[in-house]
Amino acid sequence: MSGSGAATGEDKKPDQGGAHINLKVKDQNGNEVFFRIKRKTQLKKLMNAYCDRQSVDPKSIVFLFDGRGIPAEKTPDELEMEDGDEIDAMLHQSGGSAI
Amino acid sequence: MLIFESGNISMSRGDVDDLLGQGWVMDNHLNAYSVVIGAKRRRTPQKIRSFLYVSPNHEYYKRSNARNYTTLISHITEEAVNSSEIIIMPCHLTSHWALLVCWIKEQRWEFFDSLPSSLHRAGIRANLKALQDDVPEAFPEGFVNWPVADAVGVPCQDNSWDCGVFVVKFMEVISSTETVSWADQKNWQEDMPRFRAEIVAEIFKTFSSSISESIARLDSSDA
Repeated sequence: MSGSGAATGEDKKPDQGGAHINLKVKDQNGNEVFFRIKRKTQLKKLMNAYCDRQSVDPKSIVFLFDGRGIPAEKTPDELEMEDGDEIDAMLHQSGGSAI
Repeated sequence: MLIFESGNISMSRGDVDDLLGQGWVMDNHLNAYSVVIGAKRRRTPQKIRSFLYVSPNHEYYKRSNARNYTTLISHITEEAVNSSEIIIMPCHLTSHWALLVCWIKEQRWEFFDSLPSSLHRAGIRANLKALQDDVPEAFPEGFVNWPVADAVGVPCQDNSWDCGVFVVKFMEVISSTETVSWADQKNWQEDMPRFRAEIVAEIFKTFSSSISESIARLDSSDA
């Protein structure tokens, strides 16, 4: 539907086909964080915001979309993401010794 | 800062620093090294056994309900299993890495652990079960119950950070068609600084073409 309803105060419409997209980032424990970003913004911005918010080193996390690593410079549009899509944020498996 | 990115494998400056120093090995290091071994086999097939690699991420992403995690094992088919000599499966055991190897024709598993412990042995069940759940048709029946033997006399670590490098070296030795006497490999711990540098060098050698491709891609997208 086209129809550019002027923003009417409180109710935040998910602007379908609009400039923004809502994305869910889910970690390895199932915790979810929601983001709303521009479709033409590099996903690196979302990744950095997520790491800041969770206080984790960006190096320790891999972001996946549909099972594949997300190149940081790609945008939601370029990866054909749809509103409500899920990104998996997986802490890297790391090992050195036995505890 | 990302140094290269190829498919699902990416390597940051920090990842390289970890390898060169005394950092812990991460899943992406091991995944990258499986690509290194695959490239070696393409160059010198007589020197490297045919192998299938199962990323430790498979069981982990499955357990974490990551979307479409099965792309990680889409190469594990009946045909691929039948035409391979070994399966190489690094196992992540809380904060430890060990290596599970399947000798397919002989229908047996061998477990390589640089810090031998029966607790580690117990941990591999989850990895095997994940395979059975997701690609049962790829394997001969009952493969998860094939006997698992501890690799005897293999080199061990004497610190709390080198296990992943031992796993990389186990992967390398096992995939080689050369017969290695473990008794001659006792000095691995002393050789760690050199091994770590060699691993980085091999990874760069293998991925250098993808580095140049990425640069070309960046250049063309600027145009």
